[in-house]
Amino acid sequence: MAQVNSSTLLQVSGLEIEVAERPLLTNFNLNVEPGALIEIKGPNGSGKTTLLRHLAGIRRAHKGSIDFRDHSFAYVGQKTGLNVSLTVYENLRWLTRNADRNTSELELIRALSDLGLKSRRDTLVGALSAGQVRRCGLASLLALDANIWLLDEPLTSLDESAIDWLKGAITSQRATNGAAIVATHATLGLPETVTIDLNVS
Amino acid sequence: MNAFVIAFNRTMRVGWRHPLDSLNPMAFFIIVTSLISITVEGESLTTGNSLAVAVLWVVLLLSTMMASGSAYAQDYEDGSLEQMVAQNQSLYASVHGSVAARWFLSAVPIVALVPLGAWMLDLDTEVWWILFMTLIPGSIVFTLFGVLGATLTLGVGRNGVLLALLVLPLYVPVLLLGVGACQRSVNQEPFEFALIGIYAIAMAAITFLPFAIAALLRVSQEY
Repeated sequence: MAQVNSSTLLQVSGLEIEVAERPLLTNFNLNVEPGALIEIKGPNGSGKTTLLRHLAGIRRAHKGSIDFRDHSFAYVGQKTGLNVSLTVYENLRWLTRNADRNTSELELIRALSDLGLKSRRDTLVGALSAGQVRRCGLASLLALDANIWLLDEPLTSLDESAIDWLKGAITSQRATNGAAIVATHATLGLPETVTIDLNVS
Repeated sequence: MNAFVIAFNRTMRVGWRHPLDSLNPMAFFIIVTSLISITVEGESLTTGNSLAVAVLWVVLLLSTMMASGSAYAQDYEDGSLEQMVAQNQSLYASVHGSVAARWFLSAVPIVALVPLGAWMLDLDTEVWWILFMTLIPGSIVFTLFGVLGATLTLGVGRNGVLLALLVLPLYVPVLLLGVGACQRSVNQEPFEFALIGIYAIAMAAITFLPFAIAALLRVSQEY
């Protein structure tokens, strides 16, 4: 087991995950240090999403512990968590309040304009394109300002410029002592990436 | 801001964008009561008022059941529920807020229509107040049980019949107590017991059912 520093953001020890009575992971350990980028890889059905959902606390593990050590996290799943009957701004505000953060209106608008959605502020999410919805979900990363990002297939539906934005955002997240855990089958190609291959384990 | 207010505001806002979800049960209520008022002969309605009371209760029950059947379905589909389970420490308060908003959106408009229904069904005005006194706690219990049923069937597509099978047995005791209290009041018999009973059930439901609903919301994310 890796040593635990006081700066460790997330400590996972002895995690055991089962899906439909079939063991997916046994004795999984992971320490996430500030500045880390971890890519979870594996073929379809290997449990990338399931692992990420356990880390986010959406599913409960049979055994083992997941300790965020009082650090905040933001989870952007394949479902974006945006209600189609609410506007872009209302959704983003709800996501921040839901995570107990009092993000100011200015910060929310800054997050939106960073992703080119400023003019869509009062558009219903139901009227956005698939790519714009994904962008809106990613804007919540900025709005939440969390220590750890948990991203599930973040590249889906994104165009070139949004992918570049995401790479830049992850880089600056790492530079500010944050960390990102990304489940993806296409690598982001950023330096010093730690890869967890679920097929090999 | 606390979880109750956040969930209440959100549910109200979404409900406001879908006015038909509130208007359809209201239309259903008016259609059923007016059809009954023109098909049942005047004399059988006025004798004892019992038919009118029963009709108003049953229609309220059905419209509340229709309205609460879709609770949390949207949140389940779009991943908001995931975010609530992942981030929210107090699902209990959040469920309270959401159910309160649903009650305002679907039950209150129908309770407000009751005088119209009572007038169409020739109900004695002395019975109106006891009708209100029982319909208000009754509609709260109906909404809570309806949301409980909806969360039980999350992820089961087209849950209509299953939902009715699940929640109708839970609705019946409240229905009987409510109608019983009104009819006893019409017959000038003591009705306090039934009245206290229905308020006791409402208090218990408000306190305990959100625990069950919150637990079911977590469980729905395990699959």
